[in-house]
Amino acid sequence: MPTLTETEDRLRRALEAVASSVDEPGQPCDQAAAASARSATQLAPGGLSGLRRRSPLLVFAASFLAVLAVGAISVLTMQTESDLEVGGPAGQVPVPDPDTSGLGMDGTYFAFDDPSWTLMVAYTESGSSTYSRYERDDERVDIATGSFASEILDQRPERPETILTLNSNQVTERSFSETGSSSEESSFNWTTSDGLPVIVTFSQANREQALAASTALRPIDSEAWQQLAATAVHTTTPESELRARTGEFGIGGEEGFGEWIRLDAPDAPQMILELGEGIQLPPGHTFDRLIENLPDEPTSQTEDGIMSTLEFHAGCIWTGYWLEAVANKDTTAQAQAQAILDDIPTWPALNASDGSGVIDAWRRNAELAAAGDVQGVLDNLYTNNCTDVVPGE
Amino acid sequence: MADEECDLTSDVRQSRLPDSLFDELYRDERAGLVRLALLVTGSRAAAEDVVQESFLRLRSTSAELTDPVRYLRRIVLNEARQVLRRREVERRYRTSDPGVVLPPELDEMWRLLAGLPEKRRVALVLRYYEDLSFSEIARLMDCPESTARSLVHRGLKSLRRRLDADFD
Repeated sequence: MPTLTETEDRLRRALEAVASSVDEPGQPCDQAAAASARSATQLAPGGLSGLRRRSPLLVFAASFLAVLAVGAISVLTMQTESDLEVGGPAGQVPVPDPDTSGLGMDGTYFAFDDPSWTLMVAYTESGSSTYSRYERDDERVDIATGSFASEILDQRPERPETILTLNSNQVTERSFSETGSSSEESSFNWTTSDGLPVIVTFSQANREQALAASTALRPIDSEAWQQLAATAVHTTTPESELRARTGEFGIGGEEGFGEWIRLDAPDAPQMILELGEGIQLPPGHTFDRLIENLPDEPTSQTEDGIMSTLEFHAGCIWTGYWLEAVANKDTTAQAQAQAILDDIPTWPALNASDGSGVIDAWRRNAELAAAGDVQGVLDNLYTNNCTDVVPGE
Repeated sequence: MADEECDLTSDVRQSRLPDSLFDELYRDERAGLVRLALLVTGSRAAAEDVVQESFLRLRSTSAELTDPVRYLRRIVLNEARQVLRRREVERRYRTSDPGVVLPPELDEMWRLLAGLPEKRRVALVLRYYEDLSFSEIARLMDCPESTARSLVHRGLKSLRRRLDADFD
């Protein structure tokens, strides 16, 4: 893996190279641009308003910002050229020929072919994974494909019993088979013809309704999906409705897996404390300081990332506990802390997110403690940015 | 003649900005703003549109501007970000072709940058092309400085991870 410095350098060079394609002005006046602007104003005899008729994007932008400015918590239905081409959300997207569309090879793209549902959110990652959210009244359908779906399966082992399994040819058959049940939601695990998973989750537990609704889901090709995604409705969320769980999932790597959690949501502290319940802390210690320092501004972290933070914070607390034990000549507490410090390099979330020597640093920390090197442990804490647990700090 | 060519918006005269200053801004800032918009949108055509619209908005504003360059840059960024958000327009304008032939390693970086979420991409462009401080990035993006730091940090980490994945 390249270092951060190498990545920065390569990024700078790429940006400079692309930017250099834009001509230097070189003249008192950029003639070509001036001519272009003049042409625009000629096309628009009414001045700016005429120009804007030429640019639906900018009309939308202005409308969107205007709505935000008055604080309207509302849904915007965008009237753009894409609407004209696609015919509105989730409706008349052309169905590709299943034999030639490359479905499965080209990724897994689906449209919810029922006009009563509104596409609220749509995004894709690396062209082979998509996430879509449709809503109707108080119902919601989430469709995760490719790696997004894999992560749900891999990272949520408690969920298989709530997932229905569908093994079918993705294009021609709809033979859903049920393997579990849930009191809260209905889900379908749909394996495509080339083995890519698809997860469809319905917010309501009525299986018959969910099953019936699911038949409106059909595969489309990537371009049609992109057209559809362009019609996704934008919404704003008032703070009072903000929830920690976002329904969106990390893509792995340093970003981590699991659901993205809004750390500034009112219910985030409780959720984080629940995630940390399995992490052992010294007697009398809690994650309160971590909770107190949660950000106020919109910030998100994956569940894996939160677990890694919790484990890291616990490691800091245990190191502080070890230092206190040494200072108090409490050999029992010191031995207890040492056992934990020795174990920290094996903690799962820290290992999963290790990419820059974190585990090595914790291993070094345990070695210094085992050697009774108080100053070394202190130095290591500073190096690890762990100083809030250092006694006296 | 040259002056006439530079008179872009003779039919729009609401601005408190003197004509001479507007022309000077256009002459001095336009190319740089197109570069900035290009790096954010990934499309030369979209970048040209964004900058043209931004100058027209500058021309039509009735506000008294203490720093018109900053104001202009902010308009450009906002417009460019809207371009990114609208995928239909993205599909129409934006291509993975930056308009220049890049060495393979830079082409790969450009492609990876184009795949980043919009805010991360904007933050990285402002940091590594414009060489702005985090506080300046935060002001331009209307977010706390800590968020700007986080966007740059996460964006860089995503690029690094994806470079590694591509290598594998």
